[in-house]
Amino acid sequence: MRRNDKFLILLALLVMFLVYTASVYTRGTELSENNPMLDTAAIQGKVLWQKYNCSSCHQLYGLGGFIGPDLTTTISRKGDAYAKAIILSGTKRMPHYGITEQEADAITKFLSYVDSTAIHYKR
Amino acid sequence: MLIQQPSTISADEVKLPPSKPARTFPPSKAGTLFLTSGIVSLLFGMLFGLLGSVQYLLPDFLAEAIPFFKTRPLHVSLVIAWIFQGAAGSIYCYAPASVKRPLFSEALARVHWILFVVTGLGIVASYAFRHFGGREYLEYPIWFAIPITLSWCLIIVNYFKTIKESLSKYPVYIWMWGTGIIAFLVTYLESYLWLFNSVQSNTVRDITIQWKANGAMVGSWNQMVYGTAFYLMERISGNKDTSRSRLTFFFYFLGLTNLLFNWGHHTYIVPSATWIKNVAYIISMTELLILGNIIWNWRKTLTDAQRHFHVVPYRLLLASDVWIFLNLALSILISIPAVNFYTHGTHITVAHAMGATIGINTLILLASAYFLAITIYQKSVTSKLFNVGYWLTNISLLVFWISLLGAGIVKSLQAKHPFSIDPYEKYLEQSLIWFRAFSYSGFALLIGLSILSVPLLRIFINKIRARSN
Ligand code: HEC
Ligand code: HEM
Repeated sequence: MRRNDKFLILLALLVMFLVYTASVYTRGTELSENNPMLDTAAIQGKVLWQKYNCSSCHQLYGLGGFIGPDLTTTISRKGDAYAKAIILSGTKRMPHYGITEQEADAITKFLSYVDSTAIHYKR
Repeated sequence: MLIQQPSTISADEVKLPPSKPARTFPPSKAGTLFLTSGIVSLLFGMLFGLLGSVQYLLPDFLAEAIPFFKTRPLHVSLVIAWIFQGAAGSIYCYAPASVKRPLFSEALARVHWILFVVTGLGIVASYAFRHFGGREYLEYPIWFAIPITLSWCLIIVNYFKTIKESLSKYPVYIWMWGTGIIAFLVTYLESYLWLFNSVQSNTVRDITIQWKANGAMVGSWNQMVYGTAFYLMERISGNKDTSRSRLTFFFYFLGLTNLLFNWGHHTYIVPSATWIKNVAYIISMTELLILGNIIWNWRKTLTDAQRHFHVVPYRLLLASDVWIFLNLALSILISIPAVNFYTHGTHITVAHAMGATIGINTLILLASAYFLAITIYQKSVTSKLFNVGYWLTNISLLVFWISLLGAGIVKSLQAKHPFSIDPYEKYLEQSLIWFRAFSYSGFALLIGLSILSVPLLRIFINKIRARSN
């Protein structure tokens, strides 16, 4: 392989990568009926989700730790009252954080929102 | 596993002939410091990993003091920090000799090390006090990203100033190190795009970008680690052709293409654009070529193995080759969408992650550390102890890997789709035997890797002390 060939290949790959990256950032994930924007309460829930590091045990869309269940479609399968109760009380394997009612509502809203985007996986 | 041990190793001490370039370009002290602190991170990281695996079996175990939401980030951050320190340390030590020029700035490299260690301690403390950023894999509070980014810029400057001239005439490992260093910065910055509102308030986009960044970030450290493996093979075999051959560069570009475009196989289950997934699928399947190449080279590997088996770093590289084969086969399998649909989010993913970070990255980086200790610093290690550590590590890792696959298969068989495992308790009960095997073999693995790495620690610390005096 000649020296210039290597640079040409590298350049070609980088240009493709830039175009590809720009479209990944903007296409296919646009806001729509099935992918609405998070409202303020759900954003607050997401911030709490991060603050309590829920993802160390739970996954959303397969991203997260593995000792607890994936929560992407928990709300549509079990309802938000159930989710909120668990978030407030914890379980044998899940810590009792001492989360407030208001916080639990926000996290549940966030989980509902995630659930609403998982259109392919409704039973 | 593969080869009978030749009689050359029966002596109690293993020592290698000195190598010339090492004399002319002594390894950077900062590089040695990185490898040393890297091994310390590995040891602590494994302790937290073991604790996490025990908490699978006994949920109440230390649940107040170090609950799983602390053990996991402590484990993952520390072991990933080992990989970065091992890679950075190897680059600082070997890049100068490779290009026959001294390191651009040893002082800058030490500043990098100090920043890295101080930031690392800060991150551990913040986990201890329950301060999280809560993003998967990068679970520390976001402002730690500032010193991490800054310190990484230092290695970029140092590396490219050291190799200085155009990359084109250099062997593949110089390319790989450079690619890995740059790719890490890019993917790391990308992983913080969620700070922008248009990402934060659109979860599908957020998760897509997070997978893109994380997937490629793994590729970035692989470039640094595989570059190190190429360098070591060249030094051990004395054959300079391989790392300059057309075929090797072909595989370098194939690897880079995968780094840039294959992450989409993590997002098959995310409702994002289908074409990204198709691109990812096609690109992922090109890894079959890499797999084929390994099988093709097997015979040569066996001949090399007979020739170099007495060389301690070589044996670690040989084992990593077997692990590359096993993990690549697994990765290709789970990149097939129909398979991925059931395996995603199960412990098969964990087997994939730890199989690669331990079997491939850790073994190569330990080979690098042994090369530094034995070949360059001319220190000896007890071969009996090494053998015990070597076999204990590889055998327990195999059991560890299989037990994670076992737990993953149990879950895959129960799932109607990737997000529904009901009842969860039942799944945990059915997997209990696999989790037991996971935890026990994890304990053996911890012992095996400690036997391999603690002697290195002693050698490096003495060396650092001697040089400071
Ligand atoms: C230490 C690990 C751990 C952490 C941290 C954790 N969970 Fe859990 N969670 C579990 C486990 C395990 C279950 C399954 C029930 C069980 O086996 O006890 C669960 C169950 C749930 C469920 C019910 C799911 C279902 O389908 O039945 C919800 C909702 C939930 N967790 C939300 C959260 C939220 C929100 C947080 C963060 C505030 C969180 N969890 C943090 C381990 C954890
Ligand atoms: C001493 C043996 C080890 C034990 C017992 C152990 C245990 C664990 C546990 C319990 C988890 C969390 C799984 C979950 O999310 O539920 C984990 C994750 C992980 N471990 Fe280890 N580990 C060990 C060694 C290592 C080493 C040496 C490395 C790398 C150098 C490593 C890399 C990782 C990675 C990258 C993850 C994240 C996996 C993922 O999210 O897919 N582990 N490990």
